[in-house]
This record gives sequence, C-alpha cells and structure tokens, in this order.
Amino acid sequence: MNLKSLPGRTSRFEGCTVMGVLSVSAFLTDAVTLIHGPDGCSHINASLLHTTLAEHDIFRIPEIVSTGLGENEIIFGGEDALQEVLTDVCADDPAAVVVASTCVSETIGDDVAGICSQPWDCPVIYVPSSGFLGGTFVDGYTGTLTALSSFITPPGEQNPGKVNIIGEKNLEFEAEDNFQEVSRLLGMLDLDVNIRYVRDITVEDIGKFGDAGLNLFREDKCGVLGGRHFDACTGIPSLPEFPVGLSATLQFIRDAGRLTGRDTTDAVRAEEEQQAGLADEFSDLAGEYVTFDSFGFQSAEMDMFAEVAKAVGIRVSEEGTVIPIPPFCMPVGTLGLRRMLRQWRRFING
Amino acid sequence: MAKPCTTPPLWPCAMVGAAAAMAGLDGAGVIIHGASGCYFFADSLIPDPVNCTYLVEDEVIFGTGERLHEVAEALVPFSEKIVVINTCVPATIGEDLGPPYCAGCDPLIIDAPPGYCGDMTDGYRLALAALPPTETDPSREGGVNIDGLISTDPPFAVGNRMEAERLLACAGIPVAARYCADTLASAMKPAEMTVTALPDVASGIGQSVGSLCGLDAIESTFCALSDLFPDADSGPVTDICEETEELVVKACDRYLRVNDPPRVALFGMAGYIDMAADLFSTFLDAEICGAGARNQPPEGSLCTWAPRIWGGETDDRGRGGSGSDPRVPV
Repeated sequence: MNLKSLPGRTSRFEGCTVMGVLSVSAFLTDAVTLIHGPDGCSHINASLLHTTLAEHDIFRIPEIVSTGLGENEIIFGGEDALQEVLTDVCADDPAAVVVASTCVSETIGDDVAGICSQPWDCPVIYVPSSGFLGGTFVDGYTGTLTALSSFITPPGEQNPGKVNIIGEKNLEFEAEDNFQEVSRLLGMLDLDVNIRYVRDITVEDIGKFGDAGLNLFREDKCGVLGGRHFDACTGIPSLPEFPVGLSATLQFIRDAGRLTGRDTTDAVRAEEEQQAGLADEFSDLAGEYVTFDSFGFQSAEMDMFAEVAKAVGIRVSEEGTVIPIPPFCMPVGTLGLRRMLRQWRRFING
Repeated sequence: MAKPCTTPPLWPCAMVGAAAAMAGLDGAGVIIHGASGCYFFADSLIPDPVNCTYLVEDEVIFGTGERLHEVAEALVPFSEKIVVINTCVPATIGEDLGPPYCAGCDPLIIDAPPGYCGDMTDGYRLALAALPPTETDPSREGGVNIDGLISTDPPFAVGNRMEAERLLACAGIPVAARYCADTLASAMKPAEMTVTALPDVASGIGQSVGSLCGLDAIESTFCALSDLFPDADSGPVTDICEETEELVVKACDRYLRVNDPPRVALFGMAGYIDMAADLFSTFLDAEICGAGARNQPPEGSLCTWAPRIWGGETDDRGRGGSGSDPRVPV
C-alpha cells in the first residue's frame, strides 16, 4: 500500500469520526444517536459497534437512526430529511438525541447545527463529526464527550470521596477489567466512583457529574479534555490517565490521595506488597531474555516494559523471545501487569 | 425525500457491493477511492484484496486525483486492470478520475455506486454493469456462467459455487465465467447462458436460464438447460434432487410425528428466505408468520423489507408487525 505524502496534521488510517461519536453516544442507554448521512454510514458503524460489543459479550443493540440520504438529497439538500427524522425520533420521547453529521452532509453543506438548535421536544445535541472531513475517530470521541457535558448541572456540594471516570474506551476489550482495577485502587483510599462518563449511564446520571471531588480520565495526557474543557466547566481537579506501570500505579495512588486530601501511606504500602507478589508469582521467568516488538504502531512506552521486566528478573536483549506489545491498550494498574506477564510467560514457554 | 430509517440499516452501502464484485475477479486491482472509515468496513467484509486511497480533508479541497495516481501507480505492476470504486465525497465533488490520474493505465472507473446510490446488492449489479462490453467467447459455447456469488455472503458464497459446479458437472455442462469468483479475463468472456446461485445478486450478464436456489428451482433450471444443450444429461441432477427430497421428507415427517407444524419467522436475504419458506411450508406444513429481508425483495417475493416490519408495518398479507409470535425463528 502506498502511504506517502501525508499532510502534516492528519492521519489517513485512524478511522471515521462517526464511529468515535458512537463509541460514546451508544453507551448513553436512554439516548438515540441520529446519523445524518446515507444508510451505509449508519450500517458501517452500527455493524462494527455491534460486532465489537458482541465480542465483549454485550448483546444490547444501541439505538442508532439514519436520515438515509439518497441521491436526491445529495442534489437538493438533506435538511428536510434531517428535520423529518428528528421529528419522528423526538416523538418517541428519548432522553436525548445525539446528532452526528457525516462527510456527505458536510460536503453538501447542510446546516445541521441550525436544525439541531431549533426547539425540539427533547434535548438534541449536535456533534460536528463530518466523517473523515472532521478528523479521525479520536475527534469524534472527544467531541462527543465534550458535547454531552451540556447535561452537567451546576455543581452542588462536591464530595471529595467521589470520583468521575471520564472517557473510558468503550470498544476496548479490557474496558470492564480496567475499570475494576482503577476502582480497586481508588477503593484503597476509600474513594467511590460517582459516574462513568460515558459508559452505560442515563442522561439524568450526567447531572450528577458535579457531585464528585475528582475527575479521572481514561487517557488524556495532552489535556485536550481535562485541561481545556472539564476542568474549566466543573472546576473539579483531575488525574489525566489510568495508571500504566509499576511506579506509575504507586504515583497514581499518591496523586489521588493528594487531590482528595487523603493519607496514602497505607495504600501505597499495600500496593507495593501486591507488586512484590508479582516477582514471586513469575519467578520462573527470572533470567529469561525477551525483546519487545510494537509492530511500528506507536511510540511504545518501552520504559514501562523494561521496568516490569526488571522487577521480575527478565532480561531485555535483541536475541530474546519476541514479545508483541499491545498496540493500543496498555495494561492498567498492577493487576493489568499480572495479566500481561501471563501472556509473556506463554510467549516465552510457547 | 429521503427514506427515514428508524432502525440501524441492515445492509452495507453500494460501495461495498461494488468492491466485493470487482475484488472477486482475480487480476483486478481494486481501489476504494475514499476515506479509511469506509475502507476499513469494506475490507472487514470482503475476503479478497482491496486497496484504498485513504483520502483526507486536504485532498477533498485540493483534488483527490494525485492521491489516486499514487495508489494506482503502486498497484499497476500487480494488476491486469485498475478498478476504481468511487465513494460518496469524491462522487459529490464530481472529480474526473480518468486516465491522467491512474498511473497512465486505462482504469475501470466504477463511478455509479457511491454509498448514497443504494445498498450492497445495487452496488454489486452496478459494478458488473460497468464491465466493458463483453463478447461471448466461442470456445465457451456449450458452457454456462454461474452468477449470484458475492464474497460478502460467507460461508454460502463458496459453498454455492462448489455446489453449482458440481451440479453442472453432473449434467455434463462445462462452467464458463463465475460472477464474481473468477479471473478478470474469464469474466470478460462469458458464455451465452447463465444460472444464478442467488437471485438477489444476479449479474445481468448472459441470458438467465434460472436459479439454483431450492429443489424445485434446480429441477426446472436443469430441465431448461437440457432443452438448450442437447448433449447435457440432467438425469443425474434430477436423481440428486429426488434423493435430497427424500431426506428432507424423512426428517420433516419425523418432526411432525411428535410436533404440530411450526409457526416460523424468517430473516435474511430475500432469495434464501423464499427458498426456506418454500421448504418449511411444503415439507413441514409450516405457517410463515413473518419473512423479513435485509435487501429490497423482488416482485413476487414472500418477504417484506425488514425495516418495514420493525417499523410496525405489515405486508399485504398481514405478516410482520408486532403481533406475530414465531415459534421457530430462523
């Protein structure tokens, strides 16, 4: 495949913004997502979503509706179609309608924002996704998280013992396990999860967002979500990402304690013991040689892998067993590392 | 006015059907001229190699031709013919994707099936209609084309091809072109007569002799073939149909000895549903309480287009809708 001459800030391979929108909106259980484009766009994304969820043993079919733009609308405009379908959808009284535009509706210049801003019988949230003309999957995902924050009611009394989990990667296979692991770590500091924004919650649940004393983002190292939006609109302090690595997990506990005014001494000590247990559990791998292969996918966090290898007594060498490292989803917390080491054992012994 | 769809659309767009058709022809260097989001889905469905220009915003503004040229240039050494499948946005902006942009070669531009032009079966038919005018190959006189093979119909597409070939071999009739599971060169030289493995994706190439979907259809098709080809012997195929019918009768009688006839709801492609409905009602005395097709069913089909059923509508016979209570959903 010919990959040359990529324009600087864009990526050819990171998928469609509409899928990014659905990866969030489909997990708002009482909302409908309306895709303003040809039926094929809806099918592509609904099918990928359904297939992915089925692999995760989730058999719920999200409410996704299409305006079904055809050749006539391409020529004469699709605004009437959007108006008609939006009227039909609102008549069913959903808690909210998330409207996603597509590359087709953007190219023909439909005023989707204008139609969505009209008075409707239920809340209508417009996410300017625009298919590939609006960026990539990540842009749809962040745009939807940001757009849905309009449901956040003015903060009441913040409870420092509650934490919002923001931007879970709903399509990653380990989403639930990762959530369990961060819940365990937060629980060591007597912190409870307030809401999972957005994973299997209702529109009404979003209103409780402001009750939390801490925001924890799944992955927002650049601060696109936390720094620029949620921090500004809620004033709740935040942690930028789920912990990845041994020392990062300990630091995560310290940071969470610092931001919520809790003493972390006991929790850190307990987690250090948990991590020390890894070395015992995988002592059979001590002295083995491994090398890591990221398949050129990302600037892999090699330091983290080297740290884990060192903790278990594994040596890193180019001649060692090739360990494929996860291209997109890094292991979260200490228990994530345990599962990763089990895979390493299989590669080494296999 | 657009057709509001109040359920997730059940069928991929025309682009996917067109790409599936062309990618099934060995020698065609298929390029989906569009964005990664469109391509990833098509590639996940189509088992044959498909390529993409992975368009980005800048190219939509300044023109996509050069990007197409780059990708075509890389494919030319491995392809007898470059086939460009256009997608919604390049089609909307109306670019001329002709030879200057295809590495100097004479490409086959499938411009008709951008996503908004219909569903997968529409795209499949439009792509085959875009094949250059083909002449019957004299060396294939006496042979029969097989169509209705679409690679996005796994595992049936491969099985259908093998079974069609087997039946034709039993009757002593050589197979000519297979649409679309053949070489490009073979596809460009069809025989005069065509049998279809799945009527929903009939190619429109050659003179249709009949369908191989269902026992009655097989018998009548081979009866027609016997009339057309005096050297053909449809006797072995008739024997196979009779043996198969005996097996079906035996299994269904066994069921009916201890059960009442079932009430059945069927969902799938119209061609398969009509075949299954015929089997159920003939051999099990079943009541077909619902028959929903993913694709637009042809005239005379038993099926209702599935989104209409889910929308609470019923067909002329009152089937579909929410009142049905199938005991055997298939």
